[in-house]
Amino acid sequence: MGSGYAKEQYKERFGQGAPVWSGEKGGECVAGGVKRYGEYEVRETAGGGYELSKGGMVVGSFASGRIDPDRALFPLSRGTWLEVSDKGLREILASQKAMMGGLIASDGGSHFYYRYDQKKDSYSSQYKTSFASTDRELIDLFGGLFEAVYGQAPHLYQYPNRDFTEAYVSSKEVFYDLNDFGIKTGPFQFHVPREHLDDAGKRAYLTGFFSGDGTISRCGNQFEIRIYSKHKEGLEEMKQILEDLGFHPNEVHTGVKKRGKRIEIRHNFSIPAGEHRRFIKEIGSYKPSHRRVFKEMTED
Amino acid sequence: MVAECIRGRSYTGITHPQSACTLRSLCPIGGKAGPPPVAFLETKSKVSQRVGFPKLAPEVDLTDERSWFWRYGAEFDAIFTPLWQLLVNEDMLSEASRSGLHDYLGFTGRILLSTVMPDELIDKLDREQYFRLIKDLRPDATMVPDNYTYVDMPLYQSWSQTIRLVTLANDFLDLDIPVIGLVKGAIAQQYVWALRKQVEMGYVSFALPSRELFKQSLLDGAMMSARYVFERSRPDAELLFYGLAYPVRRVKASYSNLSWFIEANRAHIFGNGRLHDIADPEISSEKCDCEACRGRTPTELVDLQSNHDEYVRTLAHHNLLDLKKVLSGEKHG
Repeated sequence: MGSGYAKEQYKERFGQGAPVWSGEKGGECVAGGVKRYGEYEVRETAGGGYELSKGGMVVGSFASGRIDPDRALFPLSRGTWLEVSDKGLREILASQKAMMGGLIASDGGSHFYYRYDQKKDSYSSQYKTSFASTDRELIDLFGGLFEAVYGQAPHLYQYPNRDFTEAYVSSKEVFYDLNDFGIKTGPFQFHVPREHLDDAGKRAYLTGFFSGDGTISRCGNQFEIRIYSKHKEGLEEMKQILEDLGFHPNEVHTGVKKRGKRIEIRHNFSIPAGEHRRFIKEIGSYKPSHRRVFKEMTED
Repeated sequence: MVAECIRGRSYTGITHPQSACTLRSLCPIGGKAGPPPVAFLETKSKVSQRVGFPKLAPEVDLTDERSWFWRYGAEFDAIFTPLWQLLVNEDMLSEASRSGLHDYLGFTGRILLSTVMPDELIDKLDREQYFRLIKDLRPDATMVPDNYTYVDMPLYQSWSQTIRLVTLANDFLDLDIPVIGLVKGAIAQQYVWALRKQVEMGYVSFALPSRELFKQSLLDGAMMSARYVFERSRPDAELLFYGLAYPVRRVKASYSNLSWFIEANRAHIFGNGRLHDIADPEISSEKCDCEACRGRTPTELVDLQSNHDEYVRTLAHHNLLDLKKVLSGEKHG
């Protein structure tokens, strides 16, 4: 092997090699000699990087990494980490990417479509990954996360006569990357990539999703935290990751709402009142109206 | 890359973060403590035996017996076996070393050993280890050890590796089996110099690892350099494209690849040298009279899916036969 571009070789073998600007921080390097995780061994090299080996043979080399007692993490491209633990290898989403995934799953989209070019009389594939919101704070958050993960800033589009802004990127690479994790499986449908999320990733994903599709209602002195969606399977998966984190969310309910002539079926579940403070502390939200109510709830 | 580095651009896994740059020993700015250049030997010369490549010498996956096509009746004169698969599997290596590759695989044709392998394995093997492996495995021919020459790395690295290739090619003249030279380099001067040296040593059979070069549109440059040297110094040289499943026009060459098996695993089949999904309506109702399909259409082959191994074997057998036809020029897509 070893012909052509090294960058491409790294990309193909380890998912590394995409250019980034200096100053972006990867994982924290910890000196620690050789560490064993199940069948895998992680060794710190003289050059300051790490070598991952299995059965005495090197299966990967990384310039940086993070060695924890129960796992080792190595940065791959596009906001993913390679996690090595006693259970083996898996790719996990960095918190930034997980939060971005949550935002897209709630109020965003990632899809492709064909566009007809009349001059050429042919169709071409178009890709679009977007997030729309009435809150500028959420749009800025999405933009920041997107830039940290993919190194490019999304375009902003203000719909005429409508009060929301859309941040979008037309990129085949981004579409396929998110598609691999099943972030958005169709219109109003999503999948929680639970197998690619560690605890920090699960929290970040929930924060992203709650910022988009979460509601806090008030009835007298009582507050209710709910998460809504039209996609029941996705909501069940959300509930599952909350349970993984030690929460005890209530069952998913289905409600029917009439919007003009349209009838909308929406599913939701709520967080028990006893876990509200913990939810606010660990999950929280970036939506300004949520933050105001959260402040009020914690001051009580 | 140095210029980009000075401007502040860096690459994950290579120069990022800067404290762990993998190239700092080669850096002309800060790498004063870099290693000395590789020592270079005077080359010997010997009339090297010609391998006599068949038009297609399929590569086999040593870890997957479904690719051992001779077991289901396909006949080929020679195969390529990747050495790296043995190196990462100790049990397989010890068994193959004990019995030799012929007995291990049960293949009666010629077994050609491919040394094309991941970079970290290239760095770990030295001359003695290669010789010991070749002595134990007993292939009918071997490639000279692979190297890595990247076009986006400092030339110091690719020149060091090119010199290493020539040095080891010189050492491999001591073997008593035919040896296949390698066409490798990052720039035309490296291709030409390494090839000229190997031609001077008496090499006549050459392999050009093509997979990455083809994907990155760099194959033409490598081919032109090879043609330049062969036309002037070795007109009788034979060339094999290693890792390529498409015929290169206007070049008389042989081919070796594992695409026939990799694509069969993905339910893709070759038809006139072009790759199709088995459900592709363009070919799904076309009967195929090859030995593997025996008049069945791809739609009928899908019915074999209940026995997955048999399904993959049939598709792989079909792919092999189609590739053989196309690469031999019997029909063109």
